[in-house]
Amino acid sequence: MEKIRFFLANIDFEKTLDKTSFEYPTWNKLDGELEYLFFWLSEENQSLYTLKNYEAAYLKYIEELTGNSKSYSSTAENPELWWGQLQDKEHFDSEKIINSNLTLAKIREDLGLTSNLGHICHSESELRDYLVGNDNKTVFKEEFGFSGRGLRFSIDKIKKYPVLVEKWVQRVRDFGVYVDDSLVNITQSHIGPKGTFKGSLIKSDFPEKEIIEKEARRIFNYCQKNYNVKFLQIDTYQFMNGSKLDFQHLGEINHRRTIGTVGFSLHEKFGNKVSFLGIVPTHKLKIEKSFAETITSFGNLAYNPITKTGVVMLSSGQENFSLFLFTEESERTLQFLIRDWWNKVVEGSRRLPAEFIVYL
Amino acid sequence: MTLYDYANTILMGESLEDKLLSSVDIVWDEMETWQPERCDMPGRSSQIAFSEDQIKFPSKEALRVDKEKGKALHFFANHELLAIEMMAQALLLFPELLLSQKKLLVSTIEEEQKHFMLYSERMGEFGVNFGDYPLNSFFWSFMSEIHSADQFYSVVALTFEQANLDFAHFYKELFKKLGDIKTYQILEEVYQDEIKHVARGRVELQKKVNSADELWAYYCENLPGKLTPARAKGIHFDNFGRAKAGLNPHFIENIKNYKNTFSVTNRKQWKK
Repeated sequence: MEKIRFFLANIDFEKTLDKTSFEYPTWNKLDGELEYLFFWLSEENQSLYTLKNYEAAYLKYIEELTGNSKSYSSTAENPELWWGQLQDKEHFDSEKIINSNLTLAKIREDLGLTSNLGHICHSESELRDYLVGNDNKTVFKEEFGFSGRGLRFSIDKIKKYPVLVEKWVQRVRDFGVYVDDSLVNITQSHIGPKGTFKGSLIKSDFPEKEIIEKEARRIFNYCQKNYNVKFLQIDTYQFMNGSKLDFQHLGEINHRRTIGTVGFSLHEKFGNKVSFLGIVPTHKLKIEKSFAETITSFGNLAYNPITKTGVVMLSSGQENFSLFLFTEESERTLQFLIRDWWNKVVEGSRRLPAEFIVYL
Repeated sequence: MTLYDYANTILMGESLEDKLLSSVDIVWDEMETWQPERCDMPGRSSQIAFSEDQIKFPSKEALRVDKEKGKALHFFANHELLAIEMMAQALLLFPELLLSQKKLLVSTIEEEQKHFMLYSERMGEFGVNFGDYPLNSFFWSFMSEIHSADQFYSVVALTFEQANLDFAHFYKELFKKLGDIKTYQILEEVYQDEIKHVARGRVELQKKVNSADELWAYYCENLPGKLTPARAKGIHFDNFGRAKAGLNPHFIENIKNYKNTFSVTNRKQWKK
């Protein structure tokens, strides 16, 4: 019998990177917010190391859809890391470099991707000096941020220096791009008004595909050569540069798994032609007493493995934020699925928020 | 209620209650069909009847006065009502549309109804009721020249609603400057919905062409009669909303640079 491998979904990757010295990651509450994504992609004989409990009905639901058994345990010595590789000092040092916003600024400069020019400031006084006479609206990025966290809109909110100072731009569309030696996978990221990640639209034919692929490949080749990486997850966006639509091909680098990459894998596994992975604060949802009852409440909108359409509930219902995969034959029918589900499951008569509009 | 009954009530019903009919009771049936139907004029009771009388849109300065704000919103509300009727007419004209396309049109009608209600409530707070000023039928006059769904998307989504991006954007910022946050928020909501509506039209037409660059030519081909792309822009050119709606830079530039003279209506009233 094959030995069971245990994994820690170290979602708090950036927090670990922000430490001054290496410590093997341990389970914490932040991991518990997203670690369940492991269940959806794990193989037979892979188990989750967690201090959280999951309902048997929830695991059964995943088992039925994925076709393999799911387990978790609160005892495992040095479990393998699933979200990002920080298993030893060597990885800690190299990940600190490639995931840093300071490295991001250097790569942008070397590759001429400075359309909304970033500037690094090491202290508050340096930052205040830099901003004198600068009339542009600016945003400040701390060295290790993710999904909009570590993004500051005022100097007083900055918790740690150095910061990357960027001109605030009116973003039109955001993309998450996974790139390695052979693949470039693109998802469209839906971002909330404060820059936080709200979801991913996954399909095969984005009009911007060609240019995104070309630039992602160029960035990857550069990083492969200079930082010895085997893959990258890049955030790219289109923005208004005056009256012109422009690209920032390197908005952010993540050398780890991301919700977007997981969404892409889930789309490949369960998706029809187009999918949307959406995040909703759990308190807005009519969550029933048991997981099974919650799924039953979706009625005919629940995922149907035969037609490969419907809503998959990815999270267990215990988290602060709940994740769902919506999949359909077209963007138009996907939009109806999302809307109908929203009306059924969200408390009160809340409007479908802009980030849940998939622009038919 | 059948979809036909829904569209017919909105179009031919005479009261505001008919125009604002909810879609909740529609029984969706993929097999439901009907003979294409066209009407000359939508049904409207005397209180909301079309008028030949022309009134001027309030100037920027005048919008400091509540009554004038109400008048401006009265113009906007009439445009919403016309859009509702034109969409109901499209449903009756094109029974061959896919069920999902029909649902999308109904969705858009719901959003236009919401806009109408928002404007109507707000202008009520300024002491203006819908029907207090003459109501023009300008947009409706193009309906008689629309003979295909693609023409409809070109005229309504990619021309009038595209222009409304500019108007909604301009006036929302103006009301914000004037400190009228409530009206600003209404216009912001309308603006966000209009982006969706333009995107929906763009997606429908995009399916008929091989590349995004060909969309421009296809759009122009589908504009009937005297209508030109000059009508697809308004008081302030909103690049962002157009880009957000997925119009490509080539299309946006063409719209921006398109020039012709307006002989159809007096646009002086829209001057800044």
